Amino acid sequence: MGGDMSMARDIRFPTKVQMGGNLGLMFELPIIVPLSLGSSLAVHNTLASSLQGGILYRGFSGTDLRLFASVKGLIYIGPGRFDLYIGASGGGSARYDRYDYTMLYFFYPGIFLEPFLEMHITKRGMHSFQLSLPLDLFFRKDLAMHGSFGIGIMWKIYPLIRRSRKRKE
Amino acid sequence: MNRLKLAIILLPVVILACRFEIDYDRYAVVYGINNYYTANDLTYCADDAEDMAGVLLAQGYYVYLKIDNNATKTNMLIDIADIKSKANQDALFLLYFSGHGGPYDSGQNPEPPGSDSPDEAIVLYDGVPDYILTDDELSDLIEQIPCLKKVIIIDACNSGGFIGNELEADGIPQDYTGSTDGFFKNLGKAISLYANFSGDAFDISPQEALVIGAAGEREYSYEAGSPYNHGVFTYFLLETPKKGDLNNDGYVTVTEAYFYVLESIKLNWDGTSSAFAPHVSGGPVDYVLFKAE
Repeated sequence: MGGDMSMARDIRFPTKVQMGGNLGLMFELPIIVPLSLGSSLAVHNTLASSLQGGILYRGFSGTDLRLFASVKGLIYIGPGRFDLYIGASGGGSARYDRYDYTMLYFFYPGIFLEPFLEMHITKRGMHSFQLSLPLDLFFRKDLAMHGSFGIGIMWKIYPLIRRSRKRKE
Repeated sequence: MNRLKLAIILLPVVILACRFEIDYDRYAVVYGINNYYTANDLTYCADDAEDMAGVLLAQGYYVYLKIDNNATKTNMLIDIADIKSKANQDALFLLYFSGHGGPYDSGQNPEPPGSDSPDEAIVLYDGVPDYILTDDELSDLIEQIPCLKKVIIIDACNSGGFIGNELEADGIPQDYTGSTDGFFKNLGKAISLYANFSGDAFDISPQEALVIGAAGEREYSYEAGSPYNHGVFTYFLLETPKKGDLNNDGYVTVTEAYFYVLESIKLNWDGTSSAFAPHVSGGPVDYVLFKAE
């Protein structure tokens, strides 16, 4: 889940800010340390901008699918309780949205980069918490510029690690 | 502590600085025709235009009202030329029309993806052949107006055909019978529209003006007696300054007005055998239409 601030600019009008939020699920598959690949599916909502000048950028909501690669490195080994990693994810996104107060649906792709800090709780082995700063650039054909940045919080569960550890015991 | 005091002092200043007031000119061309020279007469279109003009005047618009035999194509060209000479980029231009509309096959102008092949047109009072104003002619006409904010509202049959969306899949069928297409049904269409976007403007593109059409491209709009005594679409449109501020921010935007009218028609009219649904332009921007009353 996360919150974001997006910037939109129509070629005729000034840039304005729109606030938003999202909630989703992510699947990540470690490939080779420190690389993993993953995908996420989220729902998001972006509020309309301010009314200044008598124009506003419409609010919208919808879903987004992300495919990404992620790298991370250990920066701190905690005293038996947690390890801290720093990393970044990057990839492509596809969004399918509907403008608020309409039945008008639209699609657009994008790219993103998401630096993060991840805290593994090593005592139990299968949980981690991630704090990220996602930066998105969207390829809208009806806007001169559309991007967003925000903050994300993620709780990760590693069921496969849990199972393998049990076997070793 | 000092920082807290400063924040408390500055907060109202910041809020006031962000507060929006309509400080630009707004021009409205309002035409309604009951008594046609060339087509069958209608009953409430002149009332629609007069009452719409009243609402717009009360909201601070400069209104160019023409009824029946004054609602000619010639006069519309004159009114728009006058606005062209007065308006600046910051101003808002609104055109409202209540009268006959329909498909008109000029055979010359391409239509947006997924639309019917003929143009759509509104029918003005003048004699043949000048009484027709097609969607493409209207687009060319308003292109000359320097205002960046332009709104077209048409209470006429087939008026959804004036809308030139190229990137949005409309979940409301152009021949609405009471059901809409859901979120996932339009996914393939939306992807296809994005992939095939040409940038060529068809009809009235969202970049040119936001259009609200009372009915779909393939359906009629209706007028009715009591309790409406107006075009059904316009009856609810007239309520929007009082009831259309859906997000309670003190203003009614084009999209809010559209949605209020859409839902009101669905709730109050579409149980009849003459169901229809308004349509609206897509695009990322919206304009303030009214101050909420």
